[in-house]
Amino acid sequence: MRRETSRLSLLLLLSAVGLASARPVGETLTLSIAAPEVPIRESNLSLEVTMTNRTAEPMTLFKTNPGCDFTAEVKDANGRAVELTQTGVELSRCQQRLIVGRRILVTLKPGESTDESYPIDLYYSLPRPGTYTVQLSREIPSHPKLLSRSNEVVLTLAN
Amino acid sequence: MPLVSMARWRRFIFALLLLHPVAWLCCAAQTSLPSVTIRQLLEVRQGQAGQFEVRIAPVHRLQPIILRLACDLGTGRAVFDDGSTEKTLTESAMVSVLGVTSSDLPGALTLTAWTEGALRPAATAFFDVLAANPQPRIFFEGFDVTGTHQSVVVGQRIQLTVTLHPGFPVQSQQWSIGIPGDYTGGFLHTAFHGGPQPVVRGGSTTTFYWVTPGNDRRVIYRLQLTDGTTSTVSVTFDVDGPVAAHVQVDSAKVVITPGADNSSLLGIMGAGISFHAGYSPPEGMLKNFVWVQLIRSDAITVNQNGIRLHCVPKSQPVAGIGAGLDTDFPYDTHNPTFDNPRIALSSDVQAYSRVFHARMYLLWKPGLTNSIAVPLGFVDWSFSGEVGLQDAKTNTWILKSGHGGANNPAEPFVRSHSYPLWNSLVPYTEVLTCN
Repeated sequence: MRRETSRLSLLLLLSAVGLASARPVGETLTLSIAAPEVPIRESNLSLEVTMTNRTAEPMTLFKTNPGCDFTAEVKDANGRAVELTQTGVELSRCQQRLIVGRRILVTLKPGESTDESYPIDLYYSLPRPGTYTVQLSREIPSHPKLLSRSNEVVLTLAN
Repeated sequence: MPLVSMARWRRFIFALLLLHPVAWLCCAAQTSLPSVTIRQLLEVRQGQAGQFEVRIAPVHRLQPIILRLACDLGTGRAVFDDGSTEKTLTESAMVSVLGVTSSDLPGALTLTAWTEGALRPAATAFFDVLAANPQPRIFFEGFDVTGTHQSVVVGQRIQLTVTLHPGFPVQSQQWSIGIPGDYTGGFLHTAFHGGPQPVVRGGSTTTFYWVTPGNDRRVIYRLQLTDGTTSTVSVTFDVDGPVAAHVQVDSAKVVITPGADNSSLLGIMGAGISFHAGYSPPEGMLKNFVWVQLIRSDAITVNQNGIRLHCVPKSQPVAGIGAGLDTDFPYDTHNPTFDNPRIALSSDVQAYSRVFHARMYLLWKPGLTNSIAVPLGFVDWSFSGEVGLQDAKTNTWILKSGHGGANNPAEPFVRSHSYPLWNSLVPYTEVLTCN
């Protein structure tokens, strides 16, 4: 059977705003990544990100696809930026979504936290051995155009 | 008892030739002291005699050599055939050594050769007294658990190790753990692949995780030596785990809702279908909720300008019916969790229909170091909807049919200890793949 693949260029006009236009915010939503200090031998590394509401009001955010929720800044030991892999690029095309997968609404009370995983090897395929610095950022739905940045962690990846 | 092979011979015979320093000093002026070499030809077993070859050179000298048996560390003890630990030789000879007590530390016994008045031995051979029969012991978390009952929880890493004396000629080592569905070798969960892992049952160490609770689970270690000797030891586990797991699934009404910027969405009303789990964790352990959702199929039909397109969400690697892991592992860690398989309705399309089948797994993690999540069960559920465009200018749609909810509303949760298995990721990014 002849298969012809075509793509529907239908845009799902969600309320998403490009992260590039967002600006950093201070103590609204803190993102914290915990990275082990010992060399990591795991082949499919996921970072655990803890998001904490630092405001005095309840905060809502959506957990969708990690590639849509977060933007990562990854640098190698020489300070050069590591680019997304082709797979990572495809998995981060969030603006053209026609159908919506996971979209979990999370309401954080003041001081409350929620965890999320960011499968960094899925997006960046970091060669081993190597040392990388990683910083994640995400926008805050309840504070449009504001961007929250995580701490910068150093990952030492071993063979 | 057969003679040991040359390879084995080299492995645990450490013949050390040490010439007396005096020999070096006196060589120029006098004749040299004899050199001695010791080779072990036959293993020394408890209650049996082993054999050593002691060579003394040069052969024409009649300087006596004193052989001594000693144990520097541990429990081993050996004697010569006359019951003593000292023997005198005047020429090369085969010497029998009787094993009295098996040694617990490799190479802790020594057979040394001394010349008269020497401060150091002329030769030293390290050897072991092997137990008459192998007596393996099973160790778990640093403790000897052979023959005991151990209380553990599902998901806890069980690493069992048997340490054998290296002198034993091992033919095979096998672990018998029980019914395969009761345990796993691990749980792989990457974006593209997921599922249980096999257990390595051969060798001196095995690592596995109990998946189901239950008492009196006997794990057996079987050892066979090359001479046919066998030995079997075991440890028994009482495995605790969450009980009375259940998931309540709320009804899911299919609706068309307004989206942003004059768009419309076909989906489930509100936050979507909800999954509310409950269970009783093992005493002293915390509740937690690991949700994993697998898309079983997701088929979308689009009628656009008279062309009927059959579409699936893009998956990596491409799965024909849009099947795979939904978005990420885990899907969620909150309780309850929700899903709402919404589709944006575009006014340049005349009709949409979508049939979506998924399985939502509930897993529990014991939270112990090196532990893994274990499945408690799953909910099969589905969503379907068919809509037609009523007014393109206002992007108004009519819901022709719609259904959402658990496939078995009366008993939505199926208790199961089967792990979710996937080989593809459905990220729900990008556009649809259609043909």
